[in-house]
Amino acid sequence: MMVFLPLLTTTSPVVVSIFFGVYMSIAAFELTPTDDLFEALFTYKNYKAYNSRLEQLGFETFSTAKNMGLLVVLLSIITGLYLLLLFVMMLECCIDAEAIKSVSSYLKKKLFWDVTLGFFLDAYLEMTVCVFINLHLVSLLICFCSEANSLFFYSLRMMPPVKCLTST
Amino acid sequence: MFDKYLTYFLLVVSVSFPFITAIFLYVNRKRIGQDELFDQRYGVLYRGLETRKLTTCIAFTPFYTFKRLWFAFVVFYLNEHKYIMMIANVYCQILYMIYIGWSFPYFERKDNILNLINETALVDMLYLFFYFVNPATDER
Repeated sequence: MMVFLPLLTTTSPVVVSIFFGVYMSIAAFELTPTDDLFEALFTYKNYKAYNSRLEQLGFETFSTAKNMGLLVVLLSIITGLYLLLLFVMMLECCIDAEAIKSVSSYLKKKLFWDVTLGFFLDAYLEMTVCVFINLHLVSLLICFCSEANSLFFYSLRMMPPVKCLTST
Repeated sequence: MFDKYLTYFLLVVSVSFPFITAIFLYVNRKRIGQDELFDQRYGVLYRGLETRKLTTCIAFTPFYTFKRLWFAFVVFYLNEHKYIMMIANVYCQILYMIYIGWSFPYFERKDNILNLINETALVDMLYLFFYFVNPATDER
């Protein structure tokens, strides 16, 4: 939690920001960069960071997946393991093999609920901060809509610019 | 699309986690430290805690997660009121420290002392960060 304290401030010395930025990468399990992976898998709108303070701390976009980085990969692995368990349990019904039974019992023991609860407990603050950053984008858009007084003006503003076909 | 569903899923998980944990542990309070299978499955919710102190055992994880939820909520939704945001965090942190000091939740004595030192350092740092809060230079 100490790593997230600079989120409270408006101004902090550059050295302090860099120091906390490095610590944040450790606290957020950023062992390997995952931005390229997410950009290759999904399409994202290019929203920039909410402010420079968040950017220095490693929350460079509004996207939850991009901000969470490796945690999303870990979450996907856990989901994949649940699917694997389902598959192994189906196999268990058809084939009576000792190896399948041992894999099934191991997965059941770990997934219900030791690994899952442990993941959510350890990544709780990082996860919550990323979710609130994304929700802040939603609230900003809603504010923008209310300022424009109608969804019609909002949709007009969000439309891509029309290219005029003019003869050169 | 993936991002949207992920956000809503994680929002539901993070907001409900402290409350569901509290209810779940309270309902199964008689099985804590008594039922081996239960400890194996849900022991991560009270790992290292003194299981003979049932109230502490039930309340620790919900408090621990709620403090973090409160921190994230305050940072993003009281952003306009910097001093209220800081004071809300300081009060929450001090209340948590009082709870830790009063209950000594961990089984090992050294864990309790380390936890107290950690929470004291957090309060100290929060007071130090008052220096960097300048409402006149808010970025948004």
